Amino acid sequence: MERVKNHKIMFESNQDFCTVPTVDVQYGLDDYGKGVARWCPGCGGHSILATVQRVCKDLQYPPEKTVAVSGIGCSSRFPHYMGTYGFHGLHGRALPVASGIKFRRPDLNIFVVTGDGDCCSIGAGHWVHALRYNMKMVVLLFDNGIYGLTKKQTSPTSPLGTHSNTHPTGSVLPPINPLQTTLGFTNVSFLAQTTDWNAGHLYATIKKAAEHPGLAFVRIVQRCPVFMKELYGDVASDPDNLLLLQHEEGIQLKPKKVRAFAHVLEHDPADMSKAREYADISDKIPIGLFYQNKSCPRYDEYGAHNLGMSIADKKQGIETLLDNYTISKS
Amino acid sequence: MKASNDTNKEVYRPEDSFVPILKGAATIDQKKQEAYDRNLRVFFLDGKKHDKPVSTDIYPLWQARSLAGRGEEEKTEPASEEQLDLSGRKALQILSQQLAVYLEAHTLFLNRLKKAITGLEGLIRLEGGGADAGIDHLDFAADLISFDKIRSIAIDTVSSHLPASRVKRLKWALKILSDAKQRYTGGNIALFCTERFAKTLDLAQVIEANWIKKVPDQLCQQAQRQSANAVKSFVQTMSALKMGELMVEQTYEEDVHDAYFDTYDRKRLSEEDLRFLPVTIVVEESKNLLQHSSSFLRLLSNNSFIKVLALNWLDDLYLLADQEEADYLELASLVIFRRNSFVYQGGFEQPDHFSVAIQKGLDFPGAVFWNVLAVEGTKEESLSRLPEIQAAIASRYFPELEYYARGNHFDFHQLKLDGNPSPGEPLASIEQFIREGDKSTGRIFSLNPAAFLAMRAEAREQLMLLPSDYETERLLPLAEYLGLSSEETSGRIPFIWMVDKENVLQRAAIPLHWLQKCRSRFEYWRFLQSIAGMNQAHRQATLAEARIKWEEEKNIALESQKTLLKEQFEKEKSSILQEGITKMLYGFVYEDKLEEVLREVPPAQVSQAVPTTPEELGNQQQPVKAQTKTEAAEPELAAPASPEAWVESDECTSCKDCIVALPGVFKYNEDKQAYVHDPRGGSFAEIVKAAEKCPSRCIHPGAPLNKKEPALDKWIKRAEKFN
Repeated sequence: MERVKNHKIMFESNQDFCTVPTVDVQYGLDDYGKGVARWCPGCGGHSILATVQRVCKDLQYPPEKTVAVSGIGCSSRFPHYMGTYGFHGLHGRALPVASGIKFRRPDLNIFVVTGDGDCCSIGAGHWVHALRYNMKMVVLLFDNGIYGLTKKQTSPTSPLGTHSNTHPTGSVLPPINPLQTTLGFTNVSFLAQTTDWNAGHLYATIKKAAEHPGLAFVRIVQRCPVFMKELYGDVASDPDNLLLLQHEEGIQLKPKKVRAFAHVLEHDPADMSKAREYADISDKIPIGLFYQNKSCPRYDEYGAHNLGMSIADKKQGIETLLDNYTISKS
Repeated sequence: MKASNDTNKEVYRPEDSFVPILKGAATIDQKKQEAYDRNLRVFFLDGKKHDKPVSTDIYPLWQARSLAGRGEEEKTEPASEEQLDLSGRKALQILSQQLAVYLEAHTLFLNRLKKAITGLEGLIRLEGGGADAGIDHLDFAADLISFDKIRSIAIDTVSSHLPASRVKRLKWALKILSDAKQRYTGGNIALFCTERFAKTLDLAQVIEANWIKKVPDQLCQQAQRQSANAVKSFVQTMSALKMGELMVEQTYEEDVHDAYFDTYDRKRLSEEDLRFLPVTIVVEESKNLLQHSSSFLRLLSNNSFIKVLALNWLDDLYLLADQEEADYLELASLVIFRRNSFVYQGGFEQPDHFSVAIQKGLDFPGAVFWNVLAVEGTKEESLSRLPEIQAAIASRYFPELEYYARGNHFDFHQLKLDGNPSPGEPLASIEQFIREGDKSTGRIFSLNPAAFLAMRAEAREQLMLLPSDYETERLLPLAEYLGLSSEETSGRIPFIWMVDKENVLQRAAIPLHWLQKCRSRFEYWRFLQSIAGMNQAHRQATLAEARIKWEEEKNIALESQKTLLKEQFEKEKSSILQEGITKMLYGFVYEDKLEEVLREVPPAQVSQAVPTTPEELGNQQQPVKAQTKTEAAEPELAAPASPEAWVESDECTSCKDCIVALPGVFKYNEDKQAYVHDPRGGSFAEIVKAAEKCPSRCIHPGAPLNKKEPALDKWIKRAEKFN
């Protein structure tokens, strides 16, 4: 405890915990990009990538302090196109990897990129516990309703009757509703839904998720122009198909952008029961913040507590260690 | 008669006038005759119709010239005795001379046959003789060695071991060649003619007796039969000869040559081989050939090698009835159109022409037709008829032509008319000096077919001399008359120039049936010219017509294009004005309200009666919609769409579609969201397509900047929902 106190005393004045004077860096969009995204033309992944990069830029996340973690699937190509640290893991294992990273390095900003197969199928077990552990990260579920990378197999979120290579005559089971499933897990602290074709709302949602203290689960309704053209093709072109969940505590949009939506629903994100109710809406796509609870316990805090350090102290300690490797102008 | 110094101008001599006696052929249409007569006025000088014939001392100009010698400026060499013979026998004499020359080839062939025969006989002797034959020369050693021993070695060295089949062929070849040798000794020529023809022309005096084959009738059929047999045996002979030569040279190989000679036929004969073909000639008068036209033409079929010499008598030309005239005078073209022969038509006015034509014909590897104009009778009788022969040819009545078939396609360049005077002109002409008063002027007179017809004294009776003051404006020289159409010649009278015994030029009207003959000959000549490539009139007329048509179409197209451009110009002018006014109006609009004005989607009602349950939402959907509809009816600012394309960059999802599709128009800004960097960087159609493809519908195409883009209306309509 004394040690902590000393640290506190020593480094209190430094806002970002780095004692070595460094040159003020302003990160641009290019700092978060790398290479050329090889998703198909028209894939929603392009839109989400650009939005995440924009969020990082607006929040001025240091690229070296940002990690993109993914499993397997089209979505999981994401870390390759980010100019940050990344981890392209095994199928369904994005969340446990991210959890590990977060636990050891609470100072890093983590974006978990997963898909409907990676998260809702093989990774469903991790999904449960990641949500329960509620460690600070942004989880982006790229839900296009199909296994795209492997060229069209039915996924847990494929609508009933989807024709695919595994179900040539149409899928026979009703799909998982990721919203309902997430809201059913214990200790869920943040659930939002948005679409890849609504840039303004996507940006606001991811930014809100990045600002959430715990695990922010965002389901992004994603277009797959090659294998699931029929799913969201017409929906994307008709704004009438969206239902905007609006609240002062919810995803904030400019008034004129709100006016662009034909259907708007007032919803308090603190209201779990309403959230569950709205999660069931099927004739339109409800977008917005379904649920947020900033006071849900976080495992990374627990870990820090158990070590006798708060997260802030932990971060400070890490930064001090890393100061040895800081390159400064002087 | 030479043109004398005191020749007057064309003077009307009353004492030379006469009443016309128009003798028309019975077939001439009476109405036509009456119409023709109406054009002429009959002069009754002494009140009576004269039926005395015209003085025989009046000649067509051409004849007068030749009788008087040549004009003052032209000198000729005295005619040689050779040239003066224009009789049919002369033709046959020339033929005979050329055949004698041609026979040299047969002599060569005969030598070749003999050589082959000798070689083959030698081979047979070696083979047939066997051991005994071979051993003859070894008699000197008979007492030293036994014959058995010799036989065992001798056979290998001196006799030939030929296979049995080869020996059989050898013997066959020898037989064939021996028969051929007999035929070719003295020339393998057969000249077919009727007995009457042979007698009339005393053929035996001109042609070798053993060549003449007289037949009582069916001349063509017999000749054809004989020719077919001759060709067949020639094919056999050539086969045997080639086989024999190979055997003699010891290069005969069974496996190659057996099959070759088994199928040897006339197709294997080369052009060089055909030089040795037996010659089959048919000579006859052409009018007799015409009576059996189908068998005559069959003589000259594709596979034939027969040469036909047809004699046309000069007098027959005058006496032809109209129906048969065309067939008779156009016999050569009947043969030309078979496209496989060598054809020559002409006379003896150019003596070399005919002998060269005979030579060419004999060398030609196919059917030949010589159509010759001659004088019936003896050489002496024919002496004086040269001018007529010359006139017949020069006036296009019996034009000279030469046709040489090359391959199997008809190429008009192979028809030559060079032997005729002025072959490129419709009619030949001569220049004649006419003395008028003190001066003499050269005038051009054409040699028309009527002039030829008028050379016969009896024919001149059918002419009518015209007085010099007779309706000069209606008279037209025949040469000009023939070149005009029937509308242009209505009411005009054709005439020919005659010269009387005092060398005064006179005009003579020709009877209708003469006019018809002349027209027929004239047209035939023009036809020959077009085939020979000399008469381009038809082609030029077609070209001129096509040119006029094309010009008309071009003008119409130009006019319509002008109208269209004018309309477009007006349209563009008004749209540019409209654009300018619009831009001026924008200057008065504030920027923050501009976006709202440009957006078509009306603002949704949020503050009041917002449904909080799905049911309420469902119930209120219509009212909500109704509200928005009312709002849409009263926009805050009624402003037209932006003239240029623009992007709501905030709404851009960075999907890169528009950047990839239209990099000339769209770019990413620093937030990696699209914006329009150059609204003219792509066509309006492309911008609309990008707007349609944009998932967030944030591309607004505006108005087309280039009014000349095709199908603009369609694209403006499609752009409406994005503006």
